[in-house]
Amino acid sequence: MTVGLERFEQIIEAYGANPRHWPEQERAAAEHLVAHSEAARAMLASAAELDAWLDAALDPVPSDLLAHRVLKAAPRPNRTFGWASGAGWAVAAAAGLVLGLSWGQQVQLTNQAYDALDQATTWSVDEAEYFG
Amino acid sequence: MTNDPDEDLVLRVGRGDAAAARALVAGKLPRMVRLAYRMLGDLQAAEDVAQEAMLRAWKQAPAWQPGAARFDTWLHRVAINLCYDRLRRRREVLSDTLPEQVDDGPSPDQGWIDRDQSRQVQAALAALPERQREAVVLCHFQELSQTEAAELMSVSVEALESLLARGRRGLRTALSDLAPERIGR
Repeated sequence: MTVGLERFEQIIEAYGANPRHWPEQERAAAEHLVAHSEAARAMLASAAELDAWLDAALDPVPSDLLAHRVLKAAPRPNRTFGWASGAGWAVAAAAGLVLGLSWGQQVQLTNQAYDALDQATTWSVDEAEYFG
Repeated sequence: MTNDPDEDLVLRVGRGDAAAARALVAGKLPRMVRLAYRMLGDLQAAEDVAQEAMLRAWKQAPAWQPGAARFDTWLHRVAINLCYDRLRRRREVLSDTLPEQVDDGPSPDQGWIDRDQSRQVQAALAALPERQREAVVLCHFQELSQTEAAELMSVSVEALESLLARGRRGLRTALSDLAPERIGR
């Protein structure tokens, strides 16, 4: 692809002097023109003046409170999904075993089932995790 | 995997990954505040728009479909639409109360602006027609590609270039009026 002076002027007028802002498919050809054309370099200098003015404007800085408010509303892990995962099935299996065993064993296994239940449910998200 | 650099983060956010949410906020919230500020000229309004855009992203994340649109472009579209809602409401209020006095420039007491140049740039942007301002903000300040900006604005690339060229001419004229010693017409 080649870019002539006429098209180069259109590119400069629209996108300014920074090659990063130029259309990707024309960028290399436009840069080649700049390297070989005094007229293209003159156009570039004029556009660069406006770019420099715009780029010197300070960016607004969002408040910390804004980020805090947004993070507080971020999605949390789905607890229902957790019950369908391995830990959830482990609890169900443990509970099933309890029903099929003798009373003496039942007490011991019930305790194990409660332990598994704790493990499956204590992974709820701590607020502090979100805010470091 | 698509060519969306944010895809992995968004999918993780959708699964409730707190670290991904922090990373997305760090990367996108300041960007959305800048976008809205350049469009509205009001920091408080810009923060409100950025917050609402991010809240909509949280709602969208669990159902995010990779490949449908780049997340950054989608988020820009949400924020731009919110900006236009505010600009429309502002016009309605002004037409009801102050028909002869329209000033979209920033208030002089915004403490974070400590340089005349920033105020002048914002005043020049505010003086542009909205579509020209949008094109300049998306392509120059937000550095979207021409394809992304044209798609977001629902215009052809040729129409985008026309808006950009007229916008930049308007900025040059406005800035040369505001600071003739610094920039020529």
